[in-house]
Amino acid sequence: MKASDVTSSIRDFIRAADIGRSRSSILNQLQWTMAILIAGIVAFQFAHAPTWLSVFLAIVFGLDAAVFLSAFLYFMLKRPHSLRSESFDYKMTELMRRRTGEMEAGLYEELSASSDLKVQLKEHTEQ
Amino acid sequence: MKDSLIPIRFYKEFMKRDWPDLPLHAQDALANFLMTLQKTPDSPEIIAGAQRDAEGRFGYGFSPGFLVYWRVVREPSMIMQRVTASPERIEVLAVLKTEINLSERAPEAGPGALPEAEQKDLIERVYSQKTTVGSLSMWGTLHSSRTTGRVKGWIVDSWSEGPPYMHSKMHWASFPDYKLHHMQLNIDFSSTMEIGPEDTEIDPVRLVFVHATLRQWEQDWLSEESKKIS
Repeated sequence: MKASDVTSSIRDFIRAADIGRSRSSILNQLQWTMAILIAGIVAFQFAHAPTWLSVFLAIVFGLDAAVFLSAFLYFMLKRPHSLRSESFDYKMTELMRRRTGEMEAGLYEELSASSDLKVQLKEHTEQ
Repeated sequence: MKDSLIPIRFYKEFMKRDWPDLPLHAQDALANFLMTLQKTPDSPEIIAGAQRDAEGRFGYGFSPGFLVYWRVVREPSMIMQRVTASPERIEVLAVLKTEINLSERAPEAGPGALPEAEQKDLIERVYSQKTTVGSLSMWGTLHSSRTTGRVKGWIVDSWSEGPPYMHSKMHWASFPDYKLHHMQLNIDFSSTMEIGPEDTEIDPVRLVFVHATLRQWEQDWLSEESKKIS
């Protein structure tokens, strides 16, 4: 197997996971805006900022949430594929994160030496 | 020597599902690769031949048509010095076949025709490209049918990072008419892909960009193939 083949083959399957760029769902920007607004409201509370600032952010957050819900319902009925996370990067990242989470939860098998795989292979071949 | 090896963990489906399903030559190649990885996970040879993603996971083609993904977990106390921290264990996160099981709905033959039948095929990648033109980007992989050997179509993922903003969307571009279809890709040891109906609401900018790029890539691919033959 040529090195260039390997590289291009892997590039297809492991493109740098960058969810910000991949915009996996059409509603990503609205979700990010909500997250930023919540962070802003919390920060204003800690900083004892004037009440009107927090109220202003809360109103903007409410508008954003309303647009998000309306858009979600619209796309759910009219263009459901727009809500799916279809980016290849996203799917690879999703698989890797799921597996990492499972391993952290203790769902794995451990070998002290990969040569044990060779033993299994030899036994299988002899059978 | 066995005692100095870094422990290696496998995802739960590996031993019972994926390892037995690998052909013997691929099992042999994977076992050899993992033995090397356990001895020297940071060896320049491995790093040079592998690809690394933004979260520090690696991918390597251990045999034609097969890929393995892993991460090296290091001592927790030395998180700030990850590059030099000694490896605590290796976690094998996935082993994948590059071929994809494809299923698609056959187009209706006309009025009174029987309900749509599902067609199945096994496709493999024969060419890949990616490009960026201004704010528009896309990558694509050309696939041929394992059954007929004929070119089947492209998987394309297109998006933009500036006006006109377009979220990342994967399409199946059938060959040779380049009709763009909705698709659903499920990645695992045996990846599957379902081709849906034609996307009739595609953004015109995306449509023109994808079509023009695919025509160019097709020429590039044919040119490369002709060089291989001559």
